[in-house]
Amino acid sequence: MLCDLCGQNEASVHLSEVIDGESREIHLCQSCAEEKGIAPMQDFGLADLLGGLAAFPAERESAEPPPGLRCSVCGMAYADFRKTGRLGCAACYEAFRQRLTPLLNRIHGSTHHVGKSPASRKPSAPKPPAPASGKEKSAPPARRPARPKGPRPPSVGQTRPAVSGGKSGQTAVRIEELKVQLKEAVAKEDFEKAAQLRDRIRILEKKPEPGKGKAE
Amino acid sequence: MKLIALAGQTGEWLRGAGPESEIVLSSRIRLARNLADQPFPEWAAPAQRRAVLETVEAAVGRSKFLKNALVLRMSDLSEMEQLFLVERHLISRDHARQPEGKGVVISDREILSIMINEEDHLRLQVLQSGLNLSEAWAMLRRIDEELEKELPLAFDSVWGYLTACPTNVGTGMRVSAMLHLPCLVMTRQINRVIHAITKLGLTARGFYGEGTEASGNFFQLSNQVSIGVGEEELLDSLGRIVTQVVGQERAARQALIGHSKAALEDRVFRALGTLKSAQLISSQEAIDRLSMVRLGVDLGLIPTLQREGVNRLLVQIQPAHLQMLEGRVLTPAERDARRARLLRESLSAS
Ligand SMILES: [Zn+2]
Ligand SMILES: [Zn+2]
Repeated sequence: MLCDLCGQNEASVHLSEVIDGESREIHLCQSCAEEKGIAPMQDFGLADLLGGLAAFPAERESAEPPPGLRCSVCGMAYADFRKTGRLGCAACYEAFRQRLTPLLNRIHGSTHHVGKSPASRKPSAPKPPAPASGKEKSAPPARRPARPKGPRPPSVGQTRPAVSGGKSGQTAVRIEELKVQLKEAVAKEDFEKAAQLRDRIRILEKKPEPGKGKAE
Repeated sequence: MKLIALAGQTGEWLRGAGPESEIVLSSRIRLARNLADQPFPEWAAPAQRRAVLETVEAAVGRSKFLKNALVLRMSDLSEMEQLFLVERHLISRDHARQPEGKGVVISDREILSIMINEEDHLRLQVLQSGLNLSEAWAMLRRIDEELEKELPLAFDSVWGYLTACPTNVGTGMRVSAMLHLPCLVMTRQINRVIHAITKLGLTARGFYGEGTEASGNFFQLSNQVSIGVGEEELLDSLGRIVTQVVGQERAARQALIGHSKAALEDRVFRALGTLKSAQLISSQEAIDRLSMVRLGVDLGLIPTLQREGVNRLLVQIQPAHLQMLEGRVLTPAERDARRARLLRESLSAS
């Protein structure tokens, strides 16, 4: 279908009026739509790159947990947690650590807290002030034209996360985690996921987009 | 301060002010916190829950930020009063379901509230009008820091704040914003937007509670990930995505005005006409019409009406609010009549 305005390009933006009795549809190409100030989803290109990473995947335990696995503090069995999805007490995290680590990785893509901690835990210097939130000017991540099919050979550095100090420390830990996941994905030949991870790492490292030359 | 006093006031988050407030109704940040030495509420024995309730109430009593707060026990409230708090977005529906051993703390102007013994021992939330995340975070952080001096919190150096559900571990933070997106719905772009949002790791829900259908074109966007990302980063990324969606809605509004202004105006004024003259109206119809009227206010089509007034009606037309207003239990049919009267009276001048 061609654009209603220029009649030249393929229409990719479809507007429809949903008014009783009259249902008019308007079809525009991307450039005419942008000219009219209608640019649906242009900024969401990133979605395709990050797709699937943050979704809550179905739980698939590799092996059944030992039936006796239980928190000695509150008495909750791991089987109870599997049933309700809720832990019994803070100590359950220690008791089920081995089981929870892969679960957290699947839910959150991470197992390392990088945010604030209770004041009592940090007798040393206070955290550096929060970075100014550039809400109004922070441009959306640039859309990348195409994603190569296979992953680059991953450059997995040391996997031990650096001690997190400020924001850059947090990001460093996150990047290290992603690199570990990337290595796993490559080992499992899950190249789709590997490509996504690589893109995510690149975003975090704030490398300029190839061909865009836009630093920061 | 008594509960009934809330009925006469407008929560801060309904003011209809703040950044992007013609599209962003409200923004909210929630923190989940637990005491280190007590089982999580759902696994705890009743006596343990009571002990937590008393410990937290005592800490709240010593807080200087919460000096004038309303401290309530859920079991002291009638069902209607509990539902009233749900409708005001001060507690969750789950919190009202089994009131035993549960409490709630509500600051004046309803900006801050704390649920005690919901899924976690503490659920702190700040609710602000418009897209106002940095201010909300500054406030919530202060309260959090004050309370954690008083209470031994469950915290792990690797996993952060420990929560009953592993989906909240780490920061324990959920950031959300309530958006009014009538024109993305009308131009049938909303599914695409929601799809993209989901892919970015956010969820979208309706206005009237978790898991409900989006009605009145209201959508609540929130983050899902809580560990591995710092608080400021969570706030930043939600704020960025919300700003993008706001831009999409704004573009859709402009497009509709450009292509079919008369038809848009027709819908707005038909909705207003219905609300001003209906004798019986269901909450669903009222919400849908109010959504159109709100759009009309935002587009400057109804200069006699304020955004705050429409926001307030969106809350007041709910069942428990109507019954608080009337001072007694109403049957559904009586509610439809009372709702219609409230709307007629509130909108008669516009
Ligand atoms: Zn065109
Ligand atoms: Zn336990």
